[in-house]
Amino acid sequence: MLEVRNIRASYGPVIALHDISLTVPEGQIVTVLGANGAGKSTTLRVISGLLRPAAGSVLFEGQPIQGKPADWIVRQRICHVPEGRQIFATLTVEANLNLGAYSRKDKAGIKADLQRVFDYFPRLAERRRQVAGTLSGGEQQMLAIGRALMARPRLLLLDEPSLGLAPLIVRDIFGIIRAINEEDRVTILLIEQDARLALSVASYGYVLETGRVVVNEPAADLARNETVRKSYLGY
Amino acid sequence: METFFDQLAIGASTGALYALLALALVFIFRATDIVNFAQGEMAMFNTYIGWSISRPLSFSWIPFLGIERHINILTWRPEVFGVPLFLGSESDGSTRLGYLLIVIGTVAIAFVMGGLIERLIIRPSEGKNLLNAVIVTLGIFAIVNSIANWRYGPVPQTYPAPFKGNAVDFGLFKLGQHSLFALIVGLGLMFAIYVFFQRTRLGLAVRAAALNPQASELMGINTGRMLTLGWSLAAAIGCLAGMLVAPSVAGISPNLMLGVLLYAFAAAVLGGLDSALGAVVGGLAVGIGQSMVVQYIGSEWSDIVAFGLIIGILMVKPTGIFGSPVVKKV
Repeated sequence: MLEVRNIRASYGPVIALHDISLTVPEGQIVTVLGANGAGKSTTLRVISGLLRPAAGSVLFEGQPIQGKPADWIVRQRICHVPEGRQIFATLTVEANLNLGAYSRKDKAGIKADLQRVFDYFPRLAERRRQVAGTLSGGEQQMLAIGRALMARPRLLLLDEPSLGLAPLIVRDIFGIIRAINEEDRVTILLIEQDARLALSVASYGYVLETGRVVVNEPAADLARNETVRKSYLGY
Repeated sequence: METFFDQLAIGASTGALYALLALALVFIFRATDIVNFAQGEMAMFNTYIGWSISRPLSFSWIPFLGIERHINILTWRPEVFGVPLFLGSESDGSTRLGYLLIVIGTVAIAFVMGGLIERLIIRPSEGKNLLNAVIVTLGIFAIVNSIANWRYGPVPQTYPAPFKGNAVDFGLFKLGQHSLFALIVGLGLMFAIYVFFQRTRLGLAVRAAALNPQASELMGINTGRMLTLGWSLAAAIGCLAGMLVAPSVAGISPNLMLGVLLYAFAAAVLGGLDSALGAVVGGLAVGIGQSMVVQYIGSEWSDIVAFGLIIGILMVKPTGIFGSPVVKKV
């Protein structure tokens, strides 16, 4: 479904990605692992159009999408839940979710999806009129995911959904990520610092180091590969 | 006591116009962190455009509409409270556009001009340093003022007002018809602006783009377009304020909005530069305060009090009454 080919990207003079290639097959969860600064978030930013790559291509269902503006890419139903959640802190939960559906016009479908998001995250339903900045960290992460679901994504890009959250909430959120993948048939590209957790839901994994892919193999093999675990994943 | 309530009413009416211009300043500040010093001059220039199209129609002006004077095809001339909406006949036999047409035409031009200024001048200069863009707005201020002086001259010209009859007596106070009209239109516009930003999809998108441009892009919002729209709206609102100010002062002149802009600044700072509610409350407070100062202390104190207020607020509570404390994103 998604094919990233030999992407190179930089922030000004700093090269963030040297040569990244990865494939996300339809219906699967693929994870990208690696230390801070390895280029994980940058890879997602290139896919979602926030960063224009210096070289290489991104194919979505065979069509090149690299360098297209972010608002166009959302309309192809590729949705990015960014690092640090980036919710609209001074707007209500409901306004945040409505903004998630900005790229759509089908009122009935939006209403149904709002209900679906509330089914996944009942806490958001309880707090729909509350200002989003007053939510707890876990609730904000739920809101960020729910907001992306409102665009009815075909491919969901998740950047560190467990960051800074209590283990119990992380478990909840990963249960829902799995459900989104299995029940709603949303393909997911997941970045995670908690490698063990990511490999438990993913079918395939990539390990990045300083802007390059160093290992890629099925998630189960990665989890068993002691050398990789010790040298790159830190557990 | 009667004078007090008269002053209160007239102050609220001027205050509503300060509030409109302050709202325009707030929109642009919220969206771009730029204080638009050119806001008043943009409004002044657009108000002049309204003045140009309000003059008697003639062949030399717009041939197509001038024909009407002679063959009188257009006989449908609806009036509301005696104000011609589309076309009106003057006592000297000439034909002018009705007030509604003048307003629609002028606001449309202001809307386009505001967007063009953002696209062609502000955006390219914004990039590296916010101060650049602020200086650019000062430049636009000076240039537009000079163009108006060169094109229209310094002498004030009478400006069309739909209602210019005697003051209306409300018992407690009397208010001139134009001031009453300005107050009603001002409050109505504020309500419309509120509905736009709070209740419409597009209004929500404009707010989102101002709050967090990157997250907005990820929602599928074209943030660049929202910025242009913000400038367009600000220009249109400023222009409406200008069209209401001109008849209540000596008429339109290149310095029409200088004082108004300064008082609108005082209003925006008082309310908090990033708060729309603050702009409205601040505008009314400054308008009423000014009218009281002029009545009870002396007109020469008006500026001193207004700017004393700005300086005092910036010293004591830099965020204004309703402003949010500055949170710097890393």
